Amino acid sequence: RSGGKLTEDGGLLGAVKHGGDFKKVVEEWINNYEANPDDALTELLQFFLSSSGCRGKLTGDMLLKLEYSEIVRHMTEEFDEESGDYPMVMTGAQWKRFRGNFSQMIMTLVAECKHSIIFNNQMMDSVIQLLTTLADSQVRAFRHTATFAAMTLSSALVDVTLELVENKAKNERQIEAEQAKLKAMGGSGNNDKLDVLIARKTELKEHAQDVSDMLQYIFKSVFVHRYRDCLPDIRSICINELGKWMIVYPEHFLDDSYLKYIGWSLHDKMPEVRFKCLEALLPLYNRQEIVGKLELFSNKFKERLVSMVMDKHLDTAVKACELMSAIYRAFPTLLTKDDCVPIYELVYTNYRPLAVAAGEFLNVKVFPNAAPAGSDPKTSQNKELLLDLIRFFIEGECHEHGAYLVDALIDSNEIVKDWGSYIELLKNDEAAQCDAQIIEIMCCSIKQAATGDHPVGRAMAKRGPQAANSREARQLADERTKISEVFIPQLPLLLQTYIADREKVCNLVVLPLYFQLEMYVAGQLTQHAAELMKALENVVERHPDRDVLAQVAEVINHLSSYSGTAQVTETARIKLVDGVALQVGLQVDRLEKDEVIDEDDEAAMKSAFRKLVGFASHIDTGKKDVFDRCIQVTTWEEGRAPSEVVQLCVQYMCLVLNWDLQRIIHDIEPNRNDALKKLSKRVANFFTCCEQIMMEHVSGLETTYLAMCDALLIFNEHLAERNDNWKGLVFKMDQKLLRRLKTYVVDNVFSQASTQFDQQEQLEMMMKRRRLLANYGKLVIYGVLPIGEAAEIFEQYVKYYQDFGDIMKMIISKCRDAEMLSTASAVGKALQMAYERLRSTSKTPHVDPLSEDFAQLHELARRLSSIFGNDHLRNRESIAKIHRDGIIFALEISGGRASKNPTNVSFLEVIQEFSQKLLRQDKECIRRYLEKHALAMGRIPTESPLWSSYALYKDSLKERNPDDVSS
Amino acid sequence: ITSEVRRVGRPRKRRLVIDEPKNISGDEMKSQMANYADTLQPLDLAPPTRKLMKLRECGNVEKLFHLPGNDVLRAKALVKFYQSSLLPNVKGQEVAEN
Repeated sequence: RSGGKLTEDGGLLGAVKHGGDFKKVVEEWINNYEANPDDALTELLQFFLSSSGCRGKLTGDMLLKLEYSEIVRHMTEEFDEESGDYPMVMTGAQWKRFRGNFSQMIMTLVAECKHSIIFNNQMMDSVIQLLTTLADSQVRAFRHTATFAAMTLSSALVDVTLELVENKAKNERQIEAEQAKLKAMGGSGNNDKLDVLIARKTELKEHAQDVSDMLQYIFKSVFVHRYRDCLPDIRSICINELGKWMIVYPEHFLDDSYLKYIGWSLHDKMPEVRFKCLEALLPLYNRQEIVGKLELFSNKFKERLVSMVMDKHLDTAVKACELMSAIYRAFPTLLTKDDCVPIYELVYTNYRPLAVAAGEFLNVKVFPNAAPAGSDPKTSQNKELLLDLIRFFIEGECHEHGAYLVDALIDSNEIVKDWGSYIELLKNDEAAQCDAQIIEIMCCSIKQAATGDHPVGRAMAKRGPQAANSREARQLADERTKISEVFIPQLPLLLQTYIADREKVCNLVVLPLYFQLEMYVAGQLTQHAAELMKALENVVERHPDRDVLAQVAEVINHLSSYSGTAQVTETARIKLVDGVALQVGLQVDRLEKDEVIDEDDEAAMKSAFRKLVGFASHIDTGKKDVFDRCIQVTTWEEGRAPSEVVQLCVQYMCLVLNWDLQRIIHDIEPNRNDALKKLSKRVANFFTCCEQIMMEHVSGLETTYLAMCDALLIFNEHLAERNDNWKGLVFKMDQKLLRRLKTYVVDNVFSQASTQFDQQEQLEMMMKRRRLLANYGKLVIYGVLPIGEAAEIFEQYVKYYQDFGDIMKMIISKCRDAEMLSTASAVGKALQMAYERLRSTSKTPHVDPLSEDFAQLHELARRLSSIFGNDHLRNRESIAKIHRDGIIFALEISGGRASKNPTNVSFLEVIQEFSQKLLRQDKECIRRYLEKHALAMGRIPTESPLWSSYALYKDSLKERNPDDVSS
Repeated sequence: ITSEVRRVGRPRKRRLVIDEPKNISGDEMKSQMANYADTLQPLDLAPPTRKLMKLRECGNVEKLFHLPGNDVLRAKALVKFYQSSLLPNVKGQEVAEN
C-alpha cells in the first residue's frame, strides 16, 4: 500500500473521511504491520499528517534518516495552496463527522493493538513522538489535529490501563487460588499453571508501567502546554478529555494535581472553554463515592464557581447552576447565604433554562422532603414547604407577581401544584398575613398547569412532534381535571371570603376558565355552578371596573359553552346585562337633562359604562339599544361627558358592530334584511361619530383611531367577496378620513419621546406608538389603504429603526411580497419626500449632497434598496420605475422654464443607490432616458458643481468592466 | 497573535495559519484569574410587575399584527373573525390624489 493512496479514498484516512468499518481497516493495517513494519508505520504516521490537511508524502527513507522535528518542518511546506482550512475545522456535510470518526479510528487502533503491538517499543513510540512534535508546531493545523489525536490516544490508553488494573486483580486472585490449591495438596511439587500466572503477573506489571509512562509523557509534553493554547478549541479539547479520564479513572486522575488545570481554565475568556470545564466537573460531583476527592478543589475555587452562575454565556451559567446544586448536595455547609442569593434571584431571570436550573437549586436546598402533589395535606410536610416558598417569594423582593417564579419551578417541584395544601393554608388562617401571595402563586400555578403556557419571554422555541403534542394535551387535560375537582367546590367560597380585595378577586375570578367543565356533571358538582354565579354577581357589584367585568364576562361566556352549566349562567347573564343597560340609560338620560353633573354622578356614569364595555368585550349584549345612547354621547361637545366615557362609547360601538355582524354571519337574525340594513347604518354612524371625535376632540383620540382601524379591517371589501349579501356592509373610506388617520399616525408615532416620564411610563408610551403604527400598517397590507399611503412610513425607516424597525420591516416586506411595483413607487415617493423635507430646512436653495443630513438620506436609500434583494430580473420593472420617477423629479424645474437649474438635481445621487440593482441592458436604457430627458427640458448639463450629481449618477449607470467584478 | 504565511504571486488566497506565540502567556493566565468580571453580566430580570409583563406581551410584533388594535376586542369569536379578515390584499394602485 503506497502512502499516496492514503490521501485519496483508501486506508485509514479514507475510512475516517467517508466513514466505514474501522475495525476492518485497522485489522488490515495490523496485517501490513506484521508483514512489513516499516511500511505500515510510515502509513500510520502519514495518516496523522494527512488528517491535518497536509499534502506532504512521508517516505520510509525520511522516517529512517530525519528527526521528527525535521520531518514536521519539511511537511509544513506541503499544505493546500488555496485555503487555510484543515479537516478539524472544515464545514459541510462531508466533514461533519470527521472528528468523531478520527477519534473512533484512534480508539479502534489502540483497542486492536492493546495486547501486543502497543508494547513493542516501536509503534507507540513513533506515533507519540510525531504527535508531540506536531502538537508543538506553530502551524495551527498540525497543533490542533495532533492535540486532538494525542488526547484521544490518551483516553484510549486510560481504557487500556483500566483493563490492566482489572487483569492484575484477576491474576492476583488466580495466583492466590492456585497457591491455596497447592497448599491443600501438600504444598510441594511443580505447578505449571502457577508459573504461567506468575509470568503473566510480571508481564501485566510491565505493561502497566509502559502505559503509565506513555500517559505521563503525553500529559507532560502535550497537555500541560496545550491547555493554554491560543486557540480556544485546543483548550476545550484538553479539558474535555481530562474530564473523561477523571470520571473513568478517578483513582489516578481525580487529584488536585490534575484538577488545578480545570480550576485555572474556569477563568478562560472564551465561554466554550468555561463551559467545557463545568461539563467536566458536573458528573464528578454527582458520583457519591468519589466526591470526597473534590473537597479541596471546591474550597479553593468556590468563589469563581459561585460567580459563574452570572456568566455572560447563558448555557455556561445554566451549567454553573446545576453544578451549585451538585456541590450543595456533596458539601452542604460549603455555600454561604451570600453565595446562594444570586442563584435564588435567577429564578426570576428571562432565560428559561437558567431559571429552571436555579429552581432546581431551590428544590435541592429548600424542598428536599417534598411529598408528591395530592398527598394528604394534613400529614405531609408540603403545607410548611409551600409556606417557605411563599416566604421566598415575599422576601426575595424581586417580583411583584408569581408567574416567573412558578414557571421556574412547575416542571420540577410538585409542591407548586399541590392544590390541597394551598386550600389548607388559606382555610386554616395560618398564613393570613400572606394570603395575597398564596393566592397569587396558586393562581399562576393553576393557569400554567392547565394551559402549559409560559409567561412572556420564557416560551421555548419549538414544539415536539405530533405524538408529543397529543401526550402534552392529555397531560393538560389531566391537570385540569385535578384542578376542577378541588376548585369547583372551593372557588365560590374563596371568592366570598376575599370579595373585598380587588387583587385577590382578579386572580380568583378567572379560575373557571381552567376548569374541565364536564366535571360539574361528572363529579356531581352542579350545585357549585349556581354558587359560583352568585359569587360572580357579587364581584360585579363590588368591583365595577372594566377589567374585572371583562373577566367575569369571559368566565360566564366560558360556562355557557357547556350544556351542564349553560342553564345556570343564562339567567344570571340576562340579569347582569339588563342591569348594566338600565344603568347606562339612566346615566345618559340624567346627563342629557341636567347638563351639569356632580362627582358622584360622574363616578356612577363611568362605572356604568365600564361595566358595559367589560361585558360586551366577551358577551353579545344583544338587542339592548344602548348603541344609540352611545351615539348620543359622542355627538355632544367635548367635555360634556367625561372623556373616559366617550372612549368607552366608541369601544362599545365598535364591539356592537362586531357582535351584530356575528349574528348575521351565523344567520341567527330572524329578519336578515332588516339586520343588514340596520348594521350598515350603524357602521356609517360609527365612522361619522369617530371622525367627528378625531376632528373636534383633543383627548381619547387613540382609542377612537384604534377602533376605526379594527372596524375598517372588518368592514373591508373582503366581506362582499365572502357573501354577496354583505356587500352593503362594506365601508369605503374617503380621502378626508384617510388623511386624518395618516396625519394622526405620523404626528403621534414619529415624534421624539419626552423624557420627563419614568421608565414604565416611557415604556407604556412606546407601546402605544408601536400599536398605532402597526395598526396603520395593517390597513396597508390588508388592502384598506393603497401601498402609496405607506410612503410616510418608509420615509422614517432609518430614523426610527431602533424603536419600530421590526414593525416597519414587517410592513415593507408584506407590501413587497404582494405588490413589488407599487412598493417601489412608494419607496421612490418616500425618498422624494425625505429630500423635499431636507430642502425645506436647507439654507441654500439647492440641497448640498455633501451635508451630513444628505448622508442620512443616502443611508435611507441604501437600506430601502436592500429590500429588493438581488433577483434583478424579477425586480426589473420596479427598479426601473424608481429610476424613471427619480429622474423626472430630479430634473423638475419649479418656477417655470426661466429658472436656471432644476432644484432637485442632487436627488440623482440618492437614486444612485439603486443603480446596482439594474440589469446591464437596463442601465443603458436609463442612461439614455436621463440624457434625453435633460435635453428635452432644455438642459444641457454644464460643468457647474451643481451638475456634479448628474455626472456621478450617469457614471453609476455605466456597466463596469467585467474584470472589476471580483473586487 | 495570529499571522499568515504569505506567498509571493497570489496575494488574495487564504493561507496556512501560523500562531506565534502558540500559548496564552503566564502573565495573561494570571491576570485572567485575578479579574474575571468581564465574563459576568448582571441579572437579566424578567418583567417584575404584571403590568410590565403585559406591556412586553403586547409589544411583540406578531401579536401587534394578529390581534385587534382595540384591547376590548378580546372575545374568541370576535378575534377569530378579525383574523379571518386579515387577507393579504394589497392595493397596488398609485397614491390617490385629491
